[in-house]
This record gives sequence, C-alpha cells and structure tokens, in this order.
Amino acid sequence: MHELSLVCGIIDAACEVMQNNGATQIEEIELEIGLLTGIEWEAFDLAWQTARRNTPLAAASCHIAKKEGRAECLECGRLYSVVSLADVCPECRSYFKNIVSGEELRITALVVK
Amino acid sequence: MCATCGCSAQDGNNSVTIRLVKPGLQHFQNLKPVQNEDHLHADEHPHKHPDHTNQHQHNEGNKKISLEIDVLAQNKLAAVRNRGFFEGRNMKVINLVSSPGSGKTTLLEKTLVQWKPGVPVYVIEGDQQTDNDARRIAKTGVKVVQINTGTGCHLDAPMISNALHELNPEFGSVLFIENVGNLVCPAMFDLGEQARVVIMSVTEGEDKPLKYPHMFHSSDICLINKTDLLPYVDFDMDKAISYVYRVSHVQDCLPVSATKNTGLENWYRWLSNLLAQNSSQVTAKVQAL
Repeated sequence: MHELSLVCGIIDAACEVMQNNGATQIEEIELEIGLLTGIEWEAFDLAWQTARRNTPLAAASCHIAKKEGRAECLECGRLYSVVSLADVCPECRSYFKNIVSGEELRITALVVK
Repeated sequence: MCATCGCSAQDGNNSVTIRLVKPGLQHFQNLKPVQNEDHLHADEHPHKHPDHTNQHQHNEGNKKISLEIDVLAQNKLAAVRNRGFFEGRNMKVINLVSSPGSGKTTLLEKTLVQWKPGVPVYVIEGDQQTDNDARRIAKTGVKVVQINTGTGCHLDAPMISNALHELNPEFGSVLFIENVGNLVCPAMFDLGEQARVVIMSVTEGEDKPLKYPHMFHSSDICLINKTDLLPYVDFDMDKAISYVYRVSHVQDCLPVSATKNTGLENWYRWLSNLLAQNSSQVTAKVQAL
C-alpha cells in the first residue's frame, strides 16, 4: 500500500514541476530514497510501472539514489550504520538512538522537454 | 487514483466521507461524499496531446531541473496548518494508532467516561467503512465525527482539516483521533497531533514492535492492552517492553486492561500531564522528533 502511495505522490509532484516549466514530457527522474523508509523494492517497482502509465512519466527513466540508514547513539554519541530501527550501537550496545539519515523521500532532479 | 496513498478515493462508492454522528442516527443516514479539495488526485493532471509538441521544435531541447521535493510535502504542510489551528485554540490533540482489534475504541470509550479533564472533549473516528465505532463513542455523549476512508489505509492531515470544520472544537478542548487500524501506513502521516499513542495488545505477540518498528518509533507512549488475558496467552511482558524501547523513544509503556479497568489510572495521569503542558512546549517537542 505504502509503495503505491509514494509512487503516486512522486508522479503528482513531478508533473506539477513539469507544468510549471512549460514542458509536456519527463525524460528522466532522479529520486533519493532512504533505506529506513520501509520501502519494499519489488512493490515499489510494480507500483512505478503501473501508476506512471498514461502520465508524462510513462517513458521516463528512473534513477534512485538509495541512502544508507545512519544513527547517532544517544548514550555514547557514536555515529553508526543501521539497517533496522532495532539495531544496536556497536560501541556501547545501547538501542537509544536518533536517526540522522535513511528516512529521505525526495525528488532531486527532473529532465523535461 | 489518490495522490498520497494510492487509494481509489475519487470513485463514487469509495469517496472519503466525513460526518457528524449522533447517538440516535441510523447507519449511513445522510451519507454524502465530501470532496476533499486538498486531497489531489493524479488523474486530474491534464495530459497534453503528444502531437502538439511537434509544432514547437525550438522547445524540444531537454532541460534538467534540480529539485528538493519531499514526496510527503503536501501532507506535511496540511499537518503544520492543523498544528497551528490546535495551538491557536489551545487544544491538546492525541492520535491513537494500532493494528485492528487491539482495543482502541474500548479504551477510548472508557477514557471518555472515566477521565475528567474539566474541558470539552471531541473525537474523530477513522475507519475504512461503517460508523459503528463513532456510534459507540456518541453514546458516551461526546461530539464525534466519523471519517470513512473508503479503501484508504490511513487518515491524512487534509482529512482532519475537513473534519475540524464539522467539529468546530471549543477553545482549550481535547481531541482524540482514532486512526484507521493499521500498524504500517499511519506512521508516515503526521496529522498535526501533539502526541501519538500506539496501542498493542497481549494477544498480538510481544514482537510487534520489532515487526512494525516505524509505528512504534514515531509514537510518544505505548499502551499494552488486554492484560486481563495474560493468563491465557503466551506473552512475555518484559520482553515486549524491551522491544518497544529498542525501536523507539516512548516516554512510557503502560500495561492496561480497558475492559477490566486495570492500569488505566496511569494512562489518565499521562493525559492530565499532557493537558497541563503549554502548547508551545509540546509543539517544540514534536518538531524536535
């Protein structure tokens, strides 16, 4: 459900930018997606292929920069990579952390014509 | 197709509906779809005729545009607007989230009857279909608005904004929002609330926080409901609480039984503390998260 939500949001926002720039077609789209957003990539691909039909993005190539999850330990201050929100600090074994990256969900560039 | 969640919200049968529910009202009486103006739909984009571009060959060069667009920006903006509305009316707003069947509505019924905040209390009920829960709430005498999301899996901030027009809450009041029963999608959608409460129940298994970390991560407090059933289920309370703290910063984990009235005094104390904080403190905390 999630993934279709996000894809529809992406298409909507991209089309708005395209129109504001007087263009009619989107050739390329660049996305930045954090690995902690909980996105299931197979579901995302399926949603992308389905939802962009009959939109100006129908033939667009999609480049996704996947951002690794990073956390700051709130006990010892160590910065470390996280794959899951339940990961533990490798230094002090605390679970208490702030997520500093990996939750991005952004359109970073469009190529329009 | 809905821009935010992929639900088919513009179909006549599945439109998002928002209505005030009174105790005597029959099912689906006066049920009329409300067009949510803020809830944009991707299909509404004009599709330019492809041949048309051939007439403008001088414009055919590709143009690269650098952007920084948050995909959820539309919801976030509406949430910020709601938060401003709540702050302006000096309201406290609590978003209740959980999987279906964890006992949110029962907990809310008990709370509305037993907790005496001394200010008016309102409820917004979110469900895909039916106004069953809203009618249960209306029986307690509290003003309640039902939002039916059709096939949508969560409430979003523009829906709350529309429901507030129906509700017209008084200055200094408390609003409970009972979200659609779903431990996945509502996590991503800020409604403008000042506190998010996640409810799990002992019948669900203690590893819920690890399986659905995003919802627990985004909540301020966790209630573990149905403790009266502990003798009959294989549920390790200490383990469950340790899992909650692994994935989130919740202020507390409160074991309660809404049906048997156990542990609810801790929940009411937490609510009263929230009510005592001034809005700007709460808002600052929410923004910091």
